[in-house]
Amino acid sequence: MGRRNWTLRVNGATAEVEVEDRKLLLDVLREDLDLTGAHAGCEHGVCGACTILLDGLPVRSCLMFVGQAEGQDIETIESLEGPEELHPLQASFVEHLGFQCGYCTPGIILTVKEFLSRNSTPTREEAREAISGNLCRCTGYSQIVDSVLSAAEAMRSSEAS
Amino acid sequence: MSSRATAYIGKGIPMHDAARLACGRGRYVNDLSVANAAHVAFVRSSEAHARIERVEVEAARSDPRALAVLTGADLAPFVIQRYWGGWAGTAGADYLPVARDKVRWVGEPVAVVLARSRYDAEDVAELVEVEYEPLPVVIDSEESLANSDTRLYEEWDSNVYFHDEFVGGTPDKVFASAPAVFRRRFRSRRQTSVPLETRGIVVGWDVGRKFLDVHANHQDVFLMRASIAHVLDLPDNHVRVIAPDCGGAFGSKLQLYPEELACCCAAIALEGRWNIKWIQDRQEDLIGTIQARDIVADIEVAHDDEGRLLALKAHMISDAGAYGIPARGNTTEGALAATELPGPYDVGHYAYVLDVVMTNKPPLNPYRGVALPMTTCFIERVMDEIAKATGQDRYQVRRRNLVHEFPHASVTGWIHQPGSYVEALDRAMELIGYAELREKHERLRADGRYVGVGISSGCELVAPGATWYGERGVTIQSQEGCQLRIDPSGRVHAQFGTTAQGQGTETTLKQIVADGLGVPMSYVTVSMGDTSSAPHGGGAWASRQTTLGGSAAHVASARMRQKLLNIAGWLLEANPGDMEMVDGHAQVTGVPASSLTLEELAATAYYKSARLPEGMEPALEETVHFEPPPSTHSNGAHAAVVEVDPETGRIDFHKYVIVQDSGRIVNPLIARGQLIGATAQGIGGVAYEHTAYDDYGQPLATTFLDYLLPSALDIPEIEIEFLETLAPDNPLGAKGIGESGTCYSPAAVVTAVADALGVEVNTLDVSPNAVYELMCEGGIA
Repeated sequence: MGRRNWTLRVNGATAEVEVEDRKLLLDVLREDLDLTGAHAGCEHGVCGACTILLDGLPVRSCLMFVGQAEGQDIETIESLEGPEELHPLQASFVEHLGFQCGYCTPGIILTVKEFLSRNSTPTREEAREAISGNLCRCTGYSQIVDSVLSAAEAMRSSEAS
Repeated sequence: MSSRATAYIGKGIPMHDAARLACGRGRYVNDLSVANAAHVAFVRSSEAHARIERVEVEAARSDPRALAVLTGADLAPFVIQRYWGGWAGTAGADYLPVARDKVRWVGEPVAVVLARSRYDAEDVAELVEVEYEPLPVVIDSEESLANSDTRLYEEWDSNVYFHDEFVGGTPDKVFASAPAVFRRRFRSRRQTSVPLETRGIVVGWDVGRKFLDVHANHQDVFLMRASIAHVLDLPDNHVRVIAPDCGGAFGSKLQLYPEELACCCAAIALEGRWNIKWIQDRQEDLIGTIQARDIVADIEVAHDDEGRLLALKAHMISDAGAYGIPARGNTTEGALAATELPGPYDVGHYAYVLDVVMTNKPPLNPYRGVALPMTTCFIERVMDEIAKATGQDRYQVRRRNLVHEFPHASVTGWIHQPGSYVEALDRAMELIGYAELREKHERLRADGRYVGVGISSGCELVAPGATWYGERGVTIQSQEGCQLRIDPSGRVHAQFGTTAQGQGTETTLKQIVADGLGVPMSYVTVSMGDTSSAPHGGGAWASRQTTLGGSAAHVASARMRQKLLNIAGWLLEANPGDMEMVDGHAQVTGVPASSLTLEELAATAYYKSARLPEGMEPALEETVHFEPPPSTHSNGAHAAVVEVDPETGRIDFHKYVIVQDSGRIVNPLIARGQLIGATAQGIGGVAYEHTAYDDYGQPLATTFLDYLLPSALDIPEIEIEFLETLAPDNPLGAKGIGESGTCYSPAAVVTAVADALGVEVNTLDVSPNAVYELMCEGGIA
C-alpha cells in the first residue's frame, strides 16, 4: 500500500504527514497530528462523532481519505479556545450540561458553530434540526438544545458589544 | 441527615472539571499514548454454530506485517481456571478467549492477529483461513427450550442455563375463584446499549514482576480485576485496572469479554514483548457486545369486576445467548423480570416459572433499566386490559392497585420503603391534562387522527445489597468506598470505588464532600477508577454510585469534620461542641475571629503533629465503606400524548411528562440530564432498535443503517417534576436515578400507541413497520 507525503492545513497551520493513501482523514488527525478530539463512533458516516469543518462546512472525517483534504482548511475542536479560556459554545455546553460522556461533543460543537454562523437566532426546533445528523446516546438532546440557544445568545451579545 | 445548611447539595452545579470534554481533551482509551503497541484485529466466525475443522494461519504468520497470530489452541494454556461467572447453580462451561473446537455465534473470535497498526492487522486477518462444519442453528428461545437435540454445549442435557420457580401466596386458589381471568403473551425485542464509544483495552505484561497492567473503559474496575485475576490464576494484587474517560456504557462495559481476555492472554503468551491494544469497531459492537431485553412472557391475570388485580402467573423465557459472561453470568435480566413483574402494584398472589436458555447469539446481560423497561410495559398493558374488561378508567384502575401503604413487603420478598407511587401517578396525570384527553382524542379520531395517551407507573430496585450477587457467589461488591484525605497544604482529595461514564459522578460526589466538610467546592478534587489507589467499591450499575458513594462520603466527611473541630478546639482552647466548619474555616460558632484555616489545621496534623491532642493519630485521612440495605426503591410516572400517522406508521409526541421520586436530588441539572437521556434510550428501544437475526443466526443489524438510534428529531421535549421521599436507610436520603427514564418510557410509548389505535400492543415494537401491521389489525390501514 503506497505511502505518500501529504500537506494539510489544520487549524491555521501547515502540517506534513507521510502515510498510506488509504488512511482516513480521521485517523491521520488523531494518530499523526495528535488531534484526538475527533472520535470514531461508527466509521460509516452516520453518527457524526468524527465531524470536523472543511472549508467551514461540517464533514465526516471517517469517510474521507487523507488525500481528499489536501488544499482545504481543516478545523478541529482543538481550534476553539482550550480549557483555560472557553469558547462561548464550550462555556454554554458546560453551563447547561450539553454533554455527559463527551464522546459526541466535539462533533456537535463544530456542527453547531457552523449552524450559528448562518442562523444566529435559532428556535429550539431549528436547533434540533441542526444537530439531527449527530447521534448522542447520553443526553436525550434537550440540554444540548439548551446549550445551543444559550451559546447563540452569548455570541449575539458579544457581537453587539 | 444532618440539618446543617447545604451549600452545594441540591444545586444544579455544572460539571466544570469535565470542561476538557467540550474541548476535545478527554482521554478515552483510544487516545492513550501506548509505547511499543501491537494492535489487534480478530478473525471472527462467519457461522452461528459450527465445529472448527481447521484454522490455517501460516499465510498470515508469514506476512511481514504480522507481529503474531494466535489461535484458540495457542491461548488455551493461559486460561487456567474455567469460569463463566454467574450465580452458584447456573450452568457453565469453559470460558475461552478465542474459540477452539466450536463456534457458537456469528462474530465469535477464532484467531487474534497483532500488527503495528489496526489497518495492517485487518489485512493480515484476511489471510487466515478457517474451515467450518456447520451445525444446526438454535435462534429461537422457545425452540431452544423445547428441543434438546441441538445443544450448544453437548455435555449438558439441554440448552437450559438456569431454571427457577416461585410461588407466593395461593395463586392457584385465587385463579380458581376469580370473577375474571385472562392471559396474554408478551414479547420484547432484543437490542443493545450502543454507547457512542465502543469497547477498548490496552494491556501490558511485566514478565519479571508477573504483573498485568490494564487500561479499559470499564464500569467496575474491581470486578474487571477480580475476573481477569480469577481466569488467569493471578492474585488480585498482580493485576491493575485503570478506567480512563469513558464515552458511555449503560451496562455493556461491566463484563470480562472474550476479546479483552484474549488481549490479556496474548500479552502474557508473548511474554510482554508488546503492549496489546484493541479498539472495538462499531460492527464488532453490534454483533458482539452484550444484548438485552429478550423475553417471551406468558402472563395470566386474575381480577375482579371492580378492576382489582387479584393474582398473577407468569412463564418467562429469557434468551441468554451463546455463552455465560463473567462476572454476573446471564440470569440478571430474566430473574429480575420474574421477581419485579408486579412492579408498584399490590399483588398478594403470584407464581412464576423462569427458563433462561442458550441460543446462537451474543450473551444477554443487564442494560440500563435491566428488566423494568419490559416488565413495566407488561404490567401496564395488563392494567389497560383490566380497564377494558371492567369498563373502568385506565388511570383509576392503576391507582386502585398501586401500593398505598409502606413499608410494603412485595410478594417476591422485596421490602419497599416509603415512596410516592400514588402521588407520582396523580401528578403525572395532572400534568398531562388527563381529564380532558378522552374527549379531545375522540374528536380528533372523528377527524381521522389517531392520538392516544400513554400511562406508565413504576418502581425500581436500585443500589441492592449483597444478597443479589455476592451471596450467590458472584464477585461483585455491593458496598461502596470513600477515601478522604486532606493534604498537608489544606486541600481535599476524595477517592472512590466508583467510575464515570458521563453521569456526573465526580461532580455530585464533590458536592457531597464539600458540604460534609464545610469547605468550598473549589477545595475538593475527586478521583476514581484505578484499582491500585481507589478504595474498593462496586462501580457503576443499578443506579448506586451517588447514593452509596455519597453515603460513604457523607460518613467519612462527618468523621473528618469532627477531627478537624477537635484539633481546632484543642489549639484554640475552645469546646469542639461550640465550633463549626464554615467555608473552610474551623470557627467558634458566631465568633469568626476565633478560627483556624484548613491550611493551619493540616499543617498541625502533618508537620506539627506533636501538638495534636493526646491519643489522636496524626495526618487527616478517613476511609469509610458503606453497605446498602438489601434493596431501595425509587419510583416514577411517565405520561405521553402520541399521534400515529396512519400513512407512515410514524409516531409523533405531542407532550411528554415525567414525575420522578428518587429521594434527595443532589444535583438537579445532572439528574434531569440522566432522566432525559435514559428516557430517550427507552423510546429508542421500542420505536427503533433491534438486533435482529435470521434463521441461520446471521446478524441483520450490523451498521447504523440498520440499527437505528433516535436522533434529536425523534425525542420530544420533556417536562420533569421531582418528588422527594427520602430513603430512610442512607444518610443522604437518596435513591438512584440513572436508569429510571429507561424503565418507564417504553410503557408510556407502547400504551399510548395502543390507546391511539385502539389495538393491543403485546410485542414491544412500535417501529413504523410494526405500527403498520397494528393498523392493519385494527382495520385502520
